[in-house]
This record gives sequence, C-alpha cells and structure tokens, in this order.
Amino acid sequence: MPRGDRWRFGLFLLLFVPAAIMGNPLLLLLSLLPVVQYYLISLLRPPQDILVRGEGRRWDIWTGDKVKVERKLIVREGRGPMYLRLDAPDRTKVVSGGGSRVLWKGREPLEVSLDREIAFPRRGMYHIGSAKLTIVPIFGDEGRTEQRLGQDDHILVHDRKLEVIRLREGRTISRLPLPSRGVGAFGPESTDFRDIRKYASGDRFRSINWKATARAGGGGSLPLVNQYEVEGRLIVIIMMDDGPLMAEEAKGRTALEHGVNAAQILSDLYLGSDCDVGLYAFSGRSFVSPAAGRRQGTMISRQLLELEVTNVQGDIAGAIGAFPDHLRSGPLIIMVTSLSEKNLGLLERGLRDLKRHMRIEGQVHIINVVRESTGVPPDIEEPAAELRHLVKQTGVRRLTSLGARVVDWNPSTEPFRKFLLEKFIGRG
Amino acid sequence: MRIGSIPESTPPVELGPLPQLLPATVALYLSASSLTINKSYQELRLLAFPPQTSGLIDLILLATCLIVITIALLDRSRILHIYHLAAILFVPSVLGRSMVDWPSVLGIEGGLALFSSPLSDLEVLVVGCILVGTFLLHRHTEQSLSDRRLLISLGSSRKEADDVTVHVLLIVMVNILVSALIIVLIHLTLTAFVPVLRELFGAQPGLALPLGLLAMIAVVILTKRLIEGRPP
Repeated sequence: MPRGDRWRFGLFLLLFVPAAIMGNPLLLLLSLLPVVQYYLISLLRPPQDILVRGEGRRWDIWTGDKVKVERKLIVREGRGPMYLRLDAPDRTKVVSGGGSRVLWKGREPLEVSLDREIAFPRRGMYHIGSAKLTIVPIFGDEGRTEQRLGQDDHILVHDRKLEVIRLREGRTISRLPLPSRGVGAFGPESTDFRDIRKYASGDRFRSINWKATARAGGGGSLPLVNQYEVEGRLIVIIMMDDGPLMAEEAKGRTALEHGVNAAQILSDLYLGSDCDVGLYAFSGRSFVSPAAGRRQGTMISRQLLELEVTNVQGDIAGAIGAFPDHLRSGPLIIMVTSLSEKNLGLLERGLRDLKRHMRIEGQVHIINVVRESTGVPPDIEEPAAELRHLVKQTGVRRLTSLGARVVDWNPSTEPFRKFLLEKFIGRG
Repeated sequence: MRIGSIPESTPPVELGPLPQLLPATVALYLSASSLTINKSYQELRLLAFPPQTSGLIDLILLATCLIVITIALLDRSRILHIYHLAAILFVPSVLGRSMVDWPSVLGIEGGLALFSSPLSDLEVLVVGCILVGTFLLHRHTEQSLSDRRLLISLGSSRKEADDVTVHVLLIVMVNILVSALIIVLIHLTLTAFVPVLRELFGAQPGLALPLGLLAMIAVVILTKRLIEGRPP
C-alpha cells in the first residue's frame, strides 16, 4: 500500500474503532472522510495519451557547431503534474531549452515545445532528442511512473580540418619541414652510394666491398659492405600528447581537441605530399605505423577520433617499442603537446632516449599548445606565472639543445592555419 | 552554464509557515471553542479552582494554545502538534454523542451526560470535518512542498514548480471540501431517513444507522454507474 494511502487508512481506523466501540454516529461519519477522499482521488486520471512529436534525424556536423533538436510534447488526457527531464550528453553545451521541466496538465490538452539548441565542442557520436517523463501523482508520494519518449537524433561531430588542397598550392609544400636525410630507410635500394659499414646477416654478397675490406686489414674480422640510399618515402611520425595537461581548456575547447585538430591537418598535409605518416599517442594506447595512402589517412583519423585524455603523463620513449625500425631511419617527428614544468623533464628524458635510438638523426618539432588557465588564485597568479615561465624557459632551452624545435601555438589568438603558414612552415 | 548538464537553477525558496499554520489555528480555535461550552469543561472549572479564580483554567487553555502555535511558528515540523492538541480538545464534544454509555459502565458518576454540549450534531460534525479536513490538507501540503523542493533541486524553474504546487494544492483543497460536503450530506440524509427506517424496522436505532449507510453507499454506486453510462 502506498505511504499516502497508508496514513489515510490509519486515520480511518483511528476514528472508526472508537466510533464502533462507543456507537458514535458522528465519529463514524468522520471516519468516512478519508475514505470518501480516497474514492474521489481514484476518480482523477493521471496524464495519459502522451506522445513526443519529432523524427529522429542524422546530423553530420563540425566541432563547435550547434544543432537545434525540435520536439513537441502532446498530452491529451488526464490531469496532474509531470516532470520532464531533457538530458544533454557529456561534453555538450545546452545553449537554449533543455534541462528539467515540471508541467501541469489541466483540463485542456497540453502542447509544449521541447526544442533545444545544443553546441558540440568535441568530436564524437551523440544521441539526443528523447525525453524522460515522470508522472507524479497528485496525492501520495508513490506510484510514480517513468517513461522515455521520442526518438533520438544521431549526431556525428567531426573535427574541423583546413582545406589541404589549398594549402598544397603554391610554395607551401616546398617549405614543409622534412626529414634531414630526405628519404626513409625502407624500400628498394638505389644506385646512390651512402656509406660503408660492417657486414650484417642478410646483406647480399654482391654488396661486399672487397677492396675496402682488404685495406682495412684485420684478419678474421667481418667484411665491409657498401650501403646505398633507398628509394623509400619520407617518414613523418606525429606524436600526440594525451596526458592530463591536455585536458585544460583554451578557447572553450581542451588542448587535446586543438592538438587532435592540428595532428589531423598535419597528417593530411604530409600524406598528400607522398610521405609515410605514422601516429603515436604519448600514453602508448594508440599508434599507427607509418605508411602512405588514403587508407592510412582514414586509420589515423579514426585513431585521433577515439583519442581521450588519460590520467598519466605518457613517455615518448615508448614509441621506440612501437616502431623501432622507422625511428632508426631518422624520421621527422612532430610532437603536439602542451609544455609545462610538469612534463618537461619527462619529455627531455624521452627525447634523449629517442635520439640515442636513432641511427640517423631526425628532426623533432614540438608544437606547444598554449593553455589559458594557470590554475592558481589571482593574488598569486602573477608571481606564479613568472616562476612557471622561468622554469618552462629553462626546460625549453634544454629541449632545444637536444635538437628539438619548439613552436608555441595559442589557439585562443591564432587559428591553426595562420600558425601553420606563419610559424610552423614559415621558419621551418 | 555547466557543460553537459542541465542549466543552473536558483536554490528553492522556502515558503513561510503561514499557509499551513492558518488552517491548523482555525481547527484549534474551533476545537477549543467547542470544548469551552462543553459541560465537562464547565464542571472542571468549578472543581479545579475556587469560584473566584475559575477564569484561571481559561488562561491555562489559552496559554497552552498560544505556546503550541508559537512553537509551530518557529518550527514548521511542529504544526502537527496543533492538530494533536485540537483532537484532544475536540474529544469531549464527540464523546457526548455516543450511544453506548461506557463511563456509566465503568462506574463514573454522571456517565455520558457529563460530556453534553449545547452544540447540535451538525455543528459538531462540521467542526470535526474541519479538523480532519485541515489535517488531510496539512499532510498533502507537506507532500506538495517536499515535491516542490525536489523538483527545484533537480533543475526545474521555480516559476514552473510554484505553478504546479498551486494547481496541486487547489485540487487537494477542492477534493477535501467535496469530501467534507459529502459527509455532511450523508449526515443530513441519514437524519432525514433514520426516523423513517426506525419506523420500518421497529424502532431499532442500532440497525437503522448501518442500514442508512448501506443505502447511501448503494445510491453513490448507482449514481456512478449511471454517470458512466452503465446499466445500474
């Protein structure tokens, strides 16, 4: 028995029992008051014949776009209060409408607009549109019914990309930073002489340089072989930081969002320039071995789409295990990160390990996504910011001394296109 | 605005205790008034104190009522105590209408006549209906206000929550009023029918009353079926 009915029944008994014992007609009539009230309550019908009008649509939009989800609630029968909850998925912003609503269905049919405008600052797949309706009984606190009404809209949010074709026009492609050796270590050998080295298992006998071996002398040691340049493609490895520092916001989006956007554009740009492009997330959770072609572009896009911020700051040295051979050939490494005194040390160590592993020294470009928040109270913000700046500058100098080029990108003040043309390519 | 959730809502503003305190005070006043004209109260006045200070018991009654109201005014959860006090004060008025004289059986001198009152049956019934009705209203108001707080804390706008609360309370009030009117109507009908039924069943009031009630219930069911368009 619901609680509301329980106390009503209790009141009836409280009056009825003494009335029966004492044969009191007035008390007997009074005991009927809760019973009559209960009877009248049962005649009231709660809201029913409810529908939410509006078809579930499919949207294909860019990050930052807004979608207007149009729905209409119609209640034809019954009377009473209704509680409506229009939830928005995580990582979205309700611009207008939405939230929770409590409605009263009176004698007339009720029609309510449930239109919502929602902004999507992050990429991903979202389902939105249905409403959770709770019918609250007028009397008593139990007997609430809940139902989900309406169809969901399916919204696929993509990251915005630059028009790569336009970027490839003119002198842009010739100014792109490329690996210093020009070619990678994979592919058939050309006739261009590169070096003489000791014989290794698997080398062709035809490549043994007998004259050089004889000149070197040292009986019993391995013969020397000629090494030729290979006709491979340029290798570019994009390393994407997915550590906790990338969760901080800049211009309404996280540093990771900006970084993913940048990585996507760079990957398209280098793939369009016939390079082998690979991807490595600092956490090591996702990586794509360097390769060329449209399929590779799709694979990188998918990995970037699924990239999430992790709790642990990853170590870039993990990339050695992911693609050791490609790294040995001295590829162009582009790191997209957000430099801070918290990750500079780890980055420096990782960079040293990478350099040690590389047989041929490759170029390392670090794109530093500048974050807005400092995370300190305003009264100590300035001294703290100065201290941070000093520590950061020292760390950056150490990275530069290791041969890395650090380029700052502030998404709040400059779009990536501008950064790419003026800073990244411009001086590269 | 928070990301990924409902918009921020203002904290719920509590209503004052007056909407609940007023019906409770009315019920207490009527109960106390019905008590003061009861014979048992008059007897108590004369017995407890010398005639010169008999007004003291009125003061004690008044002070008790005021203290309970003040406590309820300061702490809304104590409003229920007003109803408890009103019910206690109303007991002598109802007891006087009993058919079985238990006080005489228990050897109390005077018996039920001790609780006689100049009020008519209808007047006592109306006071009783007000007492029970306001108590029911109090319980429903508590429930509605609790729902209102919950709705606002869940993110509903205050305007919408207030609108719904007002509608609910109006329906509850009408419901209780109609229920009380039905009870009064039953009483009036029985008052009119009982002499007739008594004549029919050989002057047996004990039998006439339940029969009258059964007749009333039959009439209600019949009317409902006719309204619904079903055969009686």
